[in-house]
Amino acid sequence: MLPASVAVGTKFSMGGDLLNSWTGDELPSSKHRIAYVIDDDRGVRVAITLLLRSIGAECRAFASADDFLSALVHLAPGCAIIDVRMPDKDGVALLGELAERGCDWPAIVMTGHAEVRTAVKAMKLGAIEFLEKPFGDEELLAALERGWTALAAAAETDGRTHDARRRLTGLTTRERCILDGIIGGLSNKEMAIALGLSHRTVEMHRSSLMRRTRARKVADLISLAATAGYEKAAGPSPLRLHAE
Amino acid sequence: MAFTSLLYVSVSTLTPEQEREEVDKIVGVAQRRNAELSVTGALIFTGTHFAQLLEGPVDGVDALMRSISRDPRHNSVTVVDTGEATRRLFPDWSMAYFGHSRYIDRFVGPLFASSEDRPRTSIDRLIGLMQEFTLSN
Repeated sequence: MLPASVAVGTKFSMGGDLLNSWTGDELPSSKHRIAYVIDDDRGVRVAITLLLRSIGAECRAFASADDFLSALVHLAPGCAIIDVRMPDKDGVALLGELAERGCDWPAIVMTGHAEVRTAVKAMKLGAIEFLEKPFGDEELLAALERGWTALAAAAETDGRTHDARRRLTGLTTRERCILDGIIGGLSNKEMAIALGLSHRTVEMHRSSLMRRTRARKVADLISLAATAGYEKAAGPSPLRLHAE
Repeated sequence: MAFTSLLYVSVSTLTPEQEREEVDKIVGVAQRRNAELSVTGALIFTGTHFAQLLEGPVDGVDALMRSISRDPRHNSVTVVDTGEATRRLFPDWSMAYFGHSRYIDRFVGPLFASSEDRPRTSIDRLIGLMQEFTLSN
């Protein structure tokens, strides 16, 4: 059974947000810099929030890992600035949970007790920087810039994926069969035989497919499908292309 | 055959756009070639610098270093430690770290100093870092 519409990814991604599933208009802006600071020390939360606001970035603070995790589904992608030593759940454990949830937002880890072992653990869990307190504003800002650049790049990739998927929605079942056939390298004649259609009918569906997806040549169409992460209906045999 | 170990640091000439692809290539070639030569060790890339430890038969390590020194993807190749080794520190060759952390780069940067200003502890710290990345699960 061919999908009626292309499935939208629901995994956390740097360009997406779990609850705000794609409606088509809510792509995160690459200009909007957001950071989250997770530290049980109120002084640190305040200091970092002030620093970020002074550079025009948005910052939201959390006093514990669990507070952050509870809020996560409602948050837009941003850099997470995480203290290693927190009671209840420490920074490394938080990184682990974020990874488990498929959240790959850039994470910057801070510590007052620099241990190589901890730093390496954090990096293996995806942390992009390890800051030893006391650290200068410049060090934190440099790491944040790297994180925001990565987020913007991911959002752009997601944007292209989103755009490609949009171009593939609304295809008729027949058009999807033709798309599968083209991806499978079948000729019009082979598709006609597999689908029990006349050659002319296949050509007609093929040209409406190309028109709808705004693809000028077959290579464009295949590239579009790849960008969208489109998977053709299971089964390599052309005989599986029979439409319902 | 004598068993040797060599640690070098170098300055990357890669642009940000090239990094991923070029380092992937380096890793692909190294995994195959080093296994053939029975050379083990670890590679660190920090965006600014490379650091690599190679250990194995003298001929193998020498052959590798000859081609590594000629590689245009880095310059200022500085051997910070080399000599006969009694045992392997690494069970195989792998990429220990790929990233742009300044914290990690601080393990590598100081080793470009002249040998008098390059204390043994800095060398040991870098090797320890490589082990921490590759040996823990």
